[in-house]
Amino acid sequence: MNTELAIIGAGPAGLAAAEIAAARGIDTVVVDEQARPGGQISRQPPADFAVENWLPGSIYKPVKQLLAGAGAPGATRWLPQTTVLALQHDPAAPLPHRYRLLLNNAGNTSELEASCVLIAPGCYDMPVIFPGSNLPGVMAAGGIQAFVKSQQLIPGERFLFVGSHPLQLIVADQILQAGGQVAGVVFAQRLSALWSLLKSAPLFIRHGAKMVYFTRALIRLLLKRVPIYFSRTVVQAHGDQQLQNVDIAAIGSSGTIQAGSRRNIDCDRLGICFGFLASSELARQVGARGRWSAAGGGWIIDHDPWMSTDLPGLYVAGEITGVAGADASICEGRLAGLGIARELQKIDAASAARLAQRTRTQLKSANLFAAKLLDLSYPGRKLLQQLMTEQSMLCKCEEVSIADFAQCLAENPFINDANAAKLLSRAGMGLCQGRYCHYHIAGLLAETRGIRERQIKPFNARFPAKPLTIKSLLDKRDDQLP
Amino acid sequence: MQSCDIAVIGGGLVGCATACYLSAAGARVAVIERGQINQGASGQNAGSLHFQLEYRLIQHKDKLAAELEHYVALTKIAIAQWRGLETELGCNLELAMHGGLMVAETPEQLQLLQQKAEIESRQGLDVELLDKPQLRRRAPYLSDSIIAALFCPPEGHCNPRLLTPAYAQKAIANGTAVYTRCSVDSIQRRCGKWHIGIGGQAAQACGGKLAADKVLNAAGAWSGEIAAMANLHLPIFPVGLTMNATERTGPLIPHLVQHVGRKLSMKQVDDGNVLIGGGWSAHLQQRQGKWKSDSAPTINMQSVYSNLSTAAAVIPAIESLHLLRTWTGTTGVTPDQLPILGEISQAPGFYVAAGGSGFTYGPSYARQMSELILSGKTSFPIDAYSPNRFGHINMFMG
Repeated sequence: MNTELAIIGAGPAGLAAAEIAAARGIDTVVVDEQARPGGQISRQPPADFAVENWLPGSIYKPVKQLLAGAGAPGATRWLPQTTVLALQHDPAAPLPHRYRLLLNNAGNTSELEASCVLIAPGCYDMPVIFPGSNLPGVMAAGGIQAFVKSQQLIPGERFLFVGSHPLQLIVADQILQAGGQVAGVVFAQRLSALWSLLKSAPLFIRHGAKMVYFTRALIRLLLKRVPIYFSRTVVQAHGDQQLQNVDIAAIGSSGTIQAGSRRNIDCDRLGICFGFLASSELARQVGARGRWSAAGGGWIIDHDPWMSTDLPGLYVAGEITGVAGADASICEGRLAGLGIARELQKIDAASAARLAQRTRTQLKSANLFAAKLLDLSYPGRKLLQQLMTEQSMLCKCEEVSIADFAQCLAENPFINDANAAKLLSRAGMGLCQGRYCHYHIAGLLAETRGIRERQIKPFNARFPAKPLTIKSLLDKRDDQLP
Repeated sequence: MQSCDIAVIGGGLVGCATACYLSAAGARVAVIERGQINQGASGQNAGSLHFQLEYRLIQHKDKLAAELEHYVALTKIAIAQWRGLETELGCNLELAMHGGLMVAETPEQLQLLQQKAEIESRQGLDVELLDKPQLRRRAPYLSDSIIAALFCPPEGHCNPRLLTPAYAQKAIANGTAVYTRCSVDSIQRRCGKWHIGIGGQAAQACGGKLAADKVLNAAGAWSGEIAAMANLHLPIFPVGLTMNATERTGPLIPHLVQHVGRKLSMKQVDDGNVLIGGGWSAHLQQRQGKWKSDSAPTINMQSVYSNLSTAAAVIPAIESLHLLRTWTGTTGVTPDQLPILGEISQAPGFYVAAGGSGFTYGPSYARQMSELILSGKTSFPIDAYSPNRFGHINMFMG
C-alpha cells in the first residue's frame, strides 16, 4: 500500500493536519493506536457506548470539533488500533516510496509507503521515581483520566494526586464528578506560584476559558472539602503487593524536602502528575534532528516554520515539538497540513503563507500560555532527584535501582553518554524500551558527570518501536522471504 | 604536550585489553576513543564464543587450507585464555562455556560437518558429531528438521556489555589514561616519535595532541581511516551487521547455536533474552557517495525477516517470544577473513590489531600484541597475520 501522506497519531495535531490534507485532495492514511480518533485529550468511549454529556467543559470544544467526521469512511483512510513499528527513510527512492512504515494491527503486520509523513504521536505522563513508585496502584494521572474519559470507569476507590502540573486538579475533579473519592491533591509548588498564573492579566484575556475551567475545578474540589496541599510532595508509597498509603512531606524554601515533616495519607490509587514527555521515538528512529528540553518533554524534534524536520518530507506537530497542549497542537497540525500541501504542490506558496497567517498568530498565543504553564509546572531536576532514594527502581523493566546505576557510573568513569550507560547497566533495555527511565538517566548522567543533557544524547530508538512476537513479524513475510 | 610510550587508538575490546596488558607490564599507555568505550562492534556484537570453524570460513575452505590449520592453533590458546578470564579480570563477565552446536538440515550440510569435524579433530580441537537421537536428548529445543550437529564443548558466550569495560577499568587501575570523545585528527612521525593530533568534544583533556613512541591502531572497522592518516594503506573494509534480542524468557537454550549452511547464531544470555544474529547485513550510511563512518548502519528489514525466520526454523519456540529490539553494528573484514596483527614494516612503531572475529579472539589478539609491542616477540606465532602479508600495498607509502 502507498499514499501521498501518512499521519501518525489521530490526536489534535494529526486530526488538524488530516482535515487540511482532505480539503486539499491529498491522498492520506491516518494511523493511530487507539480504536477511535481523538488522542489522549479527547479519548473517545468505544463506539457502542452511549455516553451522555461526554467531556463537558469549554476546554474540550476545539478538539471535539475536530472529531466531527474523523474516522468516517471517505477519501482519508483511517487505520485504528495500529502501531508503527518502523519508520525508514530512503532518500534515493522515488516519491511514493520515500518513507516506509511497518505497521502492526493486533499482530498483523503490513507495510505502508508514503511520500510525506507527519509524526504527531503526542506525549505521555512523566514517570517519577521514588521508593514504592513501582507498586501496583501507583498510576499516571493521565492513565487514570483515560479510564474516566473513555471507559466511564473509576479505576480505584480512594485517589491521591501528587505532582506539579495543574492537570491533576482536573483529573481529581473528573474522579469526583464520576462518583469517586479523592483523598487530596498535593502540589510541589507554593500556593503563590499557582496564583501567579491565575492572576496574569494578559493570559486571562486570551485564555480566559481555560483559566475559568481550572478555577471551577478547584472550587468544586474545595466545596467537597478535598484537601489541597502546597509545597509538599510524595516521598514514599507503601503497601504489601498493592498500594495502601502514601507519605508526603514538606518542601522547604530552598527546595529541600523536609524529612521530619512526613505525614501519611491512606489511598489505594496514587496519580502522578509532574508533566509530560514527548513521544519522539519514531522521529529519532528515522533520524530526525532533535534537541533536549528538560521542561518541554525531554528529547523533542526540531522543525522549520512549516513543521518540516531536517529530513525532506518528514513533518512533526504537537507535543513532539515541545509539550504545549492541545491548542498549540491543533495550530501546528494545521501548519504541517499546509506545509505538506505546499510541498506536494496542492497549494501555491503564496496562498499557503496567507492561510497560515492566522494560525501562526494563534500558535504564538497558545505557546505563550504553554510557556507560562511549563514555567509553573516543571518540577525541576533538584526535586526529582531528591525523590530517588538508593533503593528506588530507575528501570522497572530490568530492575535496575538508583544504587545499581550509581555504582555502574562510579566503576566506569569513562561512560558519559546515555547509550553507553544503557549498554553497561541494562537500564532502558526492557519492554518499555527506555520510555520510563530515559529522562531520568539523562538527568542523573548530567548531574554525575557535570555535563549538559544534550551532550548525553538520547537512547538510540530501536526497531520495533513497540515489541511484538516474532511470529507476528514473520507471518506476513512468508511469501517474500528469499 | 602529553606524552606516553604507547598510544592505543580505539576504545574497543582489542584496544582496551591491549592497553590493560601493556600497562600491567609498566608501560605508559593512553587510549584514544572518538566516542565511548565499547561503543563499536565490541559492544554491539552478540557475544558468541565460536571456536568451531565458522560458516564463512568453511565456504572457502580449499583456498584457506593453510590458514585454517593455524586458526585452530590460535583457537586453542583462546579457549585457555577464556577459561581463566573471569579470574584474571576479577569480575563476572556472564561467561558461559556450555558448548556450541553447529547444526545441519540437509545431507550436503551433514557432509560439510563431517569434513569440518575431520579437519578440526586432526588439529586437536575437541568436537563431536551428534546424530538426531543424540540431539533430541541433548538439545530438545531444536527443530525436527535438524538432522545432525557438531558439538564443540568449550563454545558459548560472554556478555559484550561487560567485557570491554572490565578491561578498561583494569587498564585505568594500571595507570592507563583513557580519553573518550577524543577523535584522532592526524598522525605524523617526527624525530622518531609519533605525534597524534586530537580533536573532538573532550580534546582539551589531553591538550589536543599526544606524542608516543609507538602507536597501536585498534580502531576496528575504522582502522583503515586511521592508517590513512599515517599515509598507510590497510585492507580492512567496513561491514554493517544486524542483531536481534527477544524479551526475557525462562531457560531455553543452554548452547551457542550456529548453522553450517545458513547465516545464524543464537544464544540465551544470563538475563534470559535470546540474541539472534549470524551475519545478516545492514546498510552502511553514505554521505556524498562515501561511507558515513560516524553513523550506525541502518536496518535492512529483509535481513531482519531472513535472520528471524532462519532462527525460527532451527528453534521453533522463539516464534512466541516478543522481539524487543533490532540493532546494527559495524565490523571490519579483511580480504582473507583473517585478522591483521603486527607492525607495518614501512612504518616502524606503527602497529595494527584489527579484523578477524574480534570478540572471540580479542583477548588473545591483545595479549599477543602487548608482547609484540613490548619485546618484539610473541609467545604464539602471529606472523601469518602480519599486515605485511599485504606488503606491496604499502610499498610506496609510509
